Amino acid sequence: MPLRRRVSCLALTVLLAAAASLPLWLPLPEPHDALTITQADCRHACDAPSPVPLPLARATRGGQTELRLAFDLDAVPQHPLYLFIPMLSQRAVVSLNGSAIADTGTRTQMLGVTSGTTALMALPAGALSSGRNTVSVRLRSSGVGRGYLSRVYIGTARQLAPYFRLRLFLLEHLRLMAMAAQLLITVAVLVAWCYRPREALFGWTLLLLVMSLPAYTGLLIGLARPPPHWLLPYGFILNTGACVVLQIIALLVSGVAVPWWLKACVPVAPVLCALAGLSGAVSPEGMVMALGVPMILVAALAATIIAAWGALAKGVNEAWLLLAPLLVLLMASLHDGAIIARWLNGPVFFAFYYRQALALAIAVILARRLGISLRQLDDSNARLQRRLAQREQELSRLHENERRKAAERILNEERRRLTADLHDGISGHLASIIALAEREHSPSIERSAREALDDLRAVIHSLDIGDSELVVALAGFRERLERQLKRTGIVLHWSMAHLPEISGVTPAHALNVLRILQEAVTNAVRHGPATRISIQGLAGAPGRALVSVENDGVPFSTGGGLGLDNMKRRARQLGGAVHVEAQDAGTRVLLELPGRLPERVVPAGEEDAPARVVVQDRPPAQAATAIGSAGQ
Amino acid sequence: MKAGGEADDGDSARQALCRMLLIEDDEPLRDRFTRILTSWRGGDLVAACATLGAALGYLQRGDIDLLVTDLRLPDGHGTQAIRVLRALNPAADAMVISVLADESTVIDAIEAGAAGYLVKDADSFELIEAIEELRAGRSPICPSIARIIVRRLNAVPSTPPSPLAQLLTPRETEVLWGIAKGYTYAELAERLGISRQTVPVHIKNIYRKLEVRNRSEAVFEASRLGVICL
Repeated sequence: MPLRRRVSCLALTVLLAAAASLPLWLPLPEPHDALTITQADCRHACDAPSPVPLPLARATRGGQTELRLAFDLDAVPQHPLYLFIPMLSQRAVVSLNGSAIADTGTRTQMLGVTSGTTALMALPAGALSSGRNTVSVRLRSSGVGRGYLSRVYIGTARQLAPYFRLRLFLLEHLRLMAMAAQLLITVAVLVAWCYRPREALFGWTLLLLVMSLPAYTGLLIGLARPPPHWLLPYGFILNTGACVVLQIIALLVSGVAVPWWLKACVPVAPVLCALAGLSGAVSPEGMVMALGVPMILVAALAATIIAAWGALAKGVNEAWLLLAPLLVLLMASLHDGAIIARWLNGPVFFAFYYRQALALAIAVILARRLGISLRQLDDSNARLQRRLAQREQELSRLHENERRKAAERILNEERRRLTADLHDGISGHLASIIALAEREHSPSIERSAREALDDLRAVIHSLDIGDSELVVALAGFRERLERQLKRTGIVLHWSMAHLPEISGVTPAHALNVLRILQEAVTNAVRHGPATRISIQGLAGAPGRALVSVENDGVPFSTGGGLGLDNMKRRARQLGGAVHVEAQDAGTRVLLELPGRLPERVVPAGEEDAPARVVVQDRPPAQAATAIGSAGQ
Repeated sequence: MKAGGEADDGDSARQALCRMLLIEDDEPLRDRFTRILTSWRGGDLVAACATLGAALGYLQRGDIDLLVTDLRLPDGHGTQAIRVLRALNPAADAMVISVLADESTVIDAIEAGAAGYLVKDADSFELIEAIEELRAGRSPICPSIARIIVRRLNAVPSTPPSPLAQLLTPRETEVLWGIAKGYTYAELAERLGISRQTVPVHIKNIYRKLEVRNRSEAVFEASRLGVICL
C-alpha cells in the first residue's frame, strides 16, 4: 500500500474513533438558566437520612431509594413550572410536597436492562408553596444497572424543553432507530443470502443479526401485558451465541478457515447459559452477570484481535473495515461492563447503539464483495465481448481469405486451362509453322508466325499479372523483345530501375502497356531504320510514371496514323497519355502512367474515340512486316 | 524414328563430343532442331525421336550426356524421359523444349531434373548458346519462371517456411528475385557484386535443388517404364 494511502487510512481511523467515542467524553448540554438542584437527602430503606451530591448512582437491588430534593421559591410563579430530570435510572416516582405528580414507569417503555431515561414533568401550581418545597424521587432499578439520578432542574417549559427533547431523541428514539436499522439490514442480508447462499459470509451475518435482535426485548417488553420481564435475561444470553458468530465472521473476512468447534459454540454457549439459568443453579440475573457479560466481552475482544491480525498481518482490506467497528464495540462493551461492575457511574449502555456500527460495517463488506464480483463480471463480460469481436473479425477475415483464395483458385484454374489449351493448340501450330516456313525458306510467313507467337506469349504472360507486378510483365516483354531485336540486329538498351511503383495493375492493364510499347518499338523499326532502341522507366510529374521509347532512326514527322491513335487510345484507357516527340536524331515516344491505374479499363465507347476503333483494334499486321523487313 | 545423321562419327571425336538425344513429336520442329543440333560441332546427336518409347531405347544405353525433349509426347511426357536420364546418369543434363516457356509444366520438368529450357521458335544461335552454357555448368532462366519459383518459395506466409526456402541460400533467393523483377544477368551481377558468369551457375544450383531429391521416385519411374530392372 502506498504511504499516502496509509496515512489517509490512519487519519480516517482516528477521525472515526474520535466520533465513536464522542459520548464518552462529550457531556450533553444542561440547562444553564434554570434552578439547579445539586444535592439530595438520601433515604434508603435501612439507612439514616444523609445529604448526598448529585448525580448519584446507587444500588437499589431488592428495593428502592428515596431521594429528597429541596428548593426554595420566593413566591408561587404565575407561569407553570417544570421539573426536568435529564437522566435517571430506571424508574422514578416523583411527588411534590407529599402529593404524587409523576411515575416515569407509566409512560416510557425503556425499562429492563436498557436503562437510562429522561423525564420532564409539570409541577402543579396548587402543590407549590412559597418558601421551601420538597420533591421526593423514589428510584427503582433492575438488578443489572444501578439506580441513577442526575442533577435536577426546575424552570419554565421554554428553559427546559430543548434539553428534554435532545435526551428523549438520544435515549428513546435513537434506540428505536438502531433497532429499526438492524431489522432493515437483517432483511437486506436475508435477501442477499437467499440469492447467494454460496457466500458463507451472508449466512453468518444473517445469523449474527437475528441472534442479536432479542437484545432489544427490553425496548418492546413494555408492550406486552403483563410484561414478561423474565424473558429479558434469556434474550440477553442469546448474545453470547451472536458473539461467537462475530468471531467466525472475523475469521471469514480475514480469509481463514473456521474451525468446527467454533461453529459448534454458536448454539452451545447460549444453550449452556440458558440451562444454567433454567435449572435454578444460578439466578437469571446471575447468569447474565457471571456468564453472559464476561463471555460477550471475551468474544468481542477475540473478534477484535482476529480482525486486527487479518488487517495488520495478512493485509486483508476488508479486515480493516471490520476492525474499526469492532474496536468501537469493544470500547462500548467495556464501558457497559464497567457500569455493570460499578466501576463507572452512568445509566446508559452503549453497546445497543454501537452494535449497529458493526452491522453497518458488515453490510458494507457484503456490498463491497457484491460490487467487486459485479465489476469482475463486467470485466470478464467486456473481455469476452472483446474476444468474441476478435474471433468474429478473425472469422470474417478467414472467410474473406477463403473467398479470395477460392476466386484465385478458379481464376488460376481457368488460366491454367487456357494456357494449356493455347500451348497444346495454337502455339504448337505456330511453332510448327515457323519451322516449316524456315525449311521452305518463306521468311515472311516465318516472321508473321513469330509475331503471332510473341503476341500470344504477351497475352498469356499478362494473364497472371497481379497488383504492382507491372515490372514483371515488363521483364517478360523485355525478354521477348531482346530475342526479337537480336534477329533484326538492333541494339536494345533497357532500364526500369527508376520506374516508380505502379499499383492497381490488372492483366488487361499490363497487356495494354505491353501493346503500347510493342507498337512504339514496331514504329521505330518501321519508320526509322533504327540501330538502337532505348526503353527507360522514369519518374514523371509527382505520382506519375513515364516509360520512354527512344530510337535513333528518322525523326518523327507525320501527325499520327493508325498505330499512334491506337497507342493513345490504350494510354487513355490506362488513365495516362502518349506523347511522340521528334528529336535531333530519332524519335521519342513517352508513355505517361498514373501511380495508380484505374479500377477498370474505360470502355472504348465512353470516350471520344474515332469511329475506326474496331479497325484499330486489329493486331498491326504492317508492323510485323516492318520488323521483318528491317531484319532483312 | 531416327534422324541422327552423325551417329557414326569417328571414335576419337566422339569421346569429347556431347552425346545428345532429341525427343520432339512435331515433324517440322524435329527436323529444325535436328538441323540445328547437327550443325553444332561440340555435340553428337545420337538420335531424334518422335515418341517416348523410341527414346527410352537410347536412354537405356546410359551414355546420353544431354537430353533435349518436348514435354507433351504422343505416348507419354517429357519429364518421364528426364527422370530416367537422371536416374541412369546423374551427370547428364536435360533440357526442355517448350513453346511458351513459362507454364508450370516447365517447373515440373525442373523438378524432374531438367536444368534448362528452350522456346520452340528459338533461333539456332540461341539454342546452341543455351546448350553450351548448360554444358559449362550454367543454366538459363527467364523472369516468368523465376517468378513461379519465387512464388513457390513463399507459397503461404502463415505456414512454416517450406523445405525449399530453407534449402536455397540467401544469395540464390536474391538472384531469383532479381530475375523475376526483370534484371539481366549483367545488371544482377552488378547489383549483387558478383561476376556475370556466376549468375547462371546459381541458377543451375537452384534447378538442382528444385529437382525432386528423392531418387527412389526416379528409379521407380525408370523401372515402371522398363528401362531398368529392379
